[in-house]
Amino acid sequence: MKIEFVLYASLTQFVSGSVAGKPITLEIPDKATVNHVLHMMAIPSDMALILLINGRSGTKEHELSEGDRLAIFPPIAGG
Amino acid sequence: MEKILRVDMGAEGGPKTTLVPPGEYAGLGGRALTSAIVSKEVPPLCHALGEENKLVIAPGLLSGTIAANSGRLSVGCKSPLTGGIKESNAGGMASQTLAKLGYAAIVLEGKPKTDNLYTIFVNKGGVKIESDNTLKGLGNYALIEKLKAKYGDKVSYMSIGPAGEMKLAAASIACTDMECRPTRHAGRGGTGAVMGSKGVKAIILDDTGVSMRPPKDAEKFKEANKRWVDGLKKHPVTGEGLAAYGTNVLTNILNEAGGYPTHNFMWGRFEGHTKISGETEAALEKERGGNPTHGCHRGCVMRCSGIYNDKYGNYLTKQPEYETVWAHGGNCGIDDLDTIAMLDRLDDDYGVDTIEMGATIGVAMEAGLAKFGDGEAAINFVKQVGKGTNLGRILGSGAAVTGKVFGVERVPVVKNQAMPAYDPRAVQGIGVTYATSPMGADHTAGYAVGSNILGIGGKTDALSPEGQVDLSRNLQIATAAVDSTGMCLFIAFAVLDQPETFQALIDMINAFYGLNLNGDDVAALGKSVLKNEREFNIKAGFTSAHDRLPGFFSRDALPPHNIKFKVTDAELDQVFNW
Ligand code: SF4
Repeated sequence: MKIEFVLYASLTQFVSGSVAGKPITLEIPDKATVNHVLHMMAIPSDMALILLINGRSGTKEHELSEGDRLAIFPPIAGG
Repeated sequence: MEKILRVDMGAEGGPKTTLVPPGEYAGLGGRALTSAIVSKEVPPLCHALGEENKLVIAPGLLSGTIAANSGRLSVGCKSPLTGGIKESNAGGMASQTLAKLGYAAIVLEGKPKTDNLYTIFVNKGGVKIESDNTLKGLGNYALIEKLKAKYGDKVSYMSIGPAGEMKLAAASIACTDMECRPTRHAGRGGTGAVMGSKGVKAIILDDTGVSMRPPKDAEKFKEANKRWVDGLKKHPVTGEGLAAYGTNVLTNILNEAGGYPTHNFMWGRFEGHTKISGETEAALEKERGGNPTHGCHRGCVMRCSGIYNDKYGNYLTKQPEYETVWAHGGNCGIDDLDTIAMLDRLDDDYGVDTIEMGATIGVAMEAGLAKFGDGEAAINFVKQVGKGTNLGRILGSGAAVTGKVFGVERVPVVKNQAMPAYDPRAVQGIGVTYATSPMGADHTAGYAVGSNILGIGGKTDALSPEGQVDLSRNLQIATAAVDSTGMCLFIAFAVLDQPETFQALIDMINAFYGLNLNGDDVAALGKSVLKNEREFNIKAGFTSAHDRLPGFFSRDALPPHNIKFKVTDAELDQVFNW
């Protein structure tokens, strides 16, 4: 199945050629989890990442569905 | 900080100063002190621009010490914008300087009998007040340049621009930063109008020949500060994240989460978000020889601020903060960083709150005065504020007034103060803070965004009303305490996640003052500050009806999540029930 995958801030360093906020389409196995995608894209999964799936907060164990948008941020804050 | 300087601006024959010991206010600092003085001494029903109001300027409990990030300043008064009590918090150098000079507070009182404009100079030798009408009408940048010729650039300045002189409700007080530029503002609530009503254009603080404040137990204090700095450096946000991209790193995540107020709170996502994001801003600053990693005062280790140069590589303004970039950016449909930076520069120069100004322009665009996305029109609006045209004076009075004058229903304010950069429908916890904070809509008063969106200080579902009242209550209590220490609020990201860093902060206060406080005492301090503020507001005529969001938030669903604000009125009324 296909999902939309987008990285932000310092995470772009892990995927060569990626640009913050520019989504790419990923082909992943059915029922793959966020963890699976992290592994596939070589993003260190021990980082305290912020995961948003279709704009909602998610976990690494979340099972993705066709057409989902997975956005990943490093620990950030401001205000 | 063994003395309070009171300046009666209305005294016969010109301003009169009195130095008094802190007395009943001893042991208080920052917001605890400003709110104690305002709630005790200012009649809640007085006119905010009248002689009975007071402007209280207070460094925090740890300001003027070597404690990292201890240089935040509290400015308090009855707010001309909200009609309630106000504490507006600013960075820059003023807090450290004032504390080192030994002042717990400067209190401006009374109303001048003439329309002379004054400067107040404070150094170790005392206080000198002079009338100088050549400063009239100057923007903050020109003013500081002029004053530098007389006082130099090793002093700290607090000043108002033309908006403050015109006593506009969105007027701010500027504090100079480490480069002696007027970039850090006590922005919210119209404190600049109150300073203007007292006839004071600038306060000059000179700490030449004065040392850091000595702790009671120097060894323990030093050791606790080391743990404190280690804790701030260890946390990924306070150690790295803020320094790399500044606060504007939030643009993308709020947009992704569908809580980025766009076109005056019409939608939760903005098409042009990547063009104005923190990532883009930091890269542009580096490319132009600016700097995305910079502290707003000496002793800041988190360094979220920065320097923004124009396309020719010349200094234009400080790195516009997330709130500013949002207010003038997505909220107005503007996706050009140079336009936003120019708006920031103009806001700082005329001395207006960037959040209020951006929200006001959003309302003006909604009214049809210009099209969303029209950057030139936005710049022209702010210039009109600076010039004091009739339209400018309306806009400079804030979003609520502008909405009334132009017949707009969707006006995002609480207690007449404009909402910052988080839509309360998609970040329900911050909606509780907006609704109930004694300050009016203020994100810093209880930053539920941390837990709702960023996973800091626990995790709550941003889209659900569940748990938001408890979250906001606890954060409002903690914030009131932090605002009293002089610490930058961003320390909370480390303190909430790392109990040992919170302990280091308490240990520093104890070692400095020879006290024996614990976490419960800190919470008690926060509660007492909120109690003072709430009581003032109640006497000023506020009821639970004022602790509400505008109706459209619970009526109109916000895309993309198509969600309404769902915390009930009964729940909101429980926030201060502890
Ligand atoms: S973290 Fe930012 S706002 Fe806080 S003191 Fe440092 S530069 Fe100022």
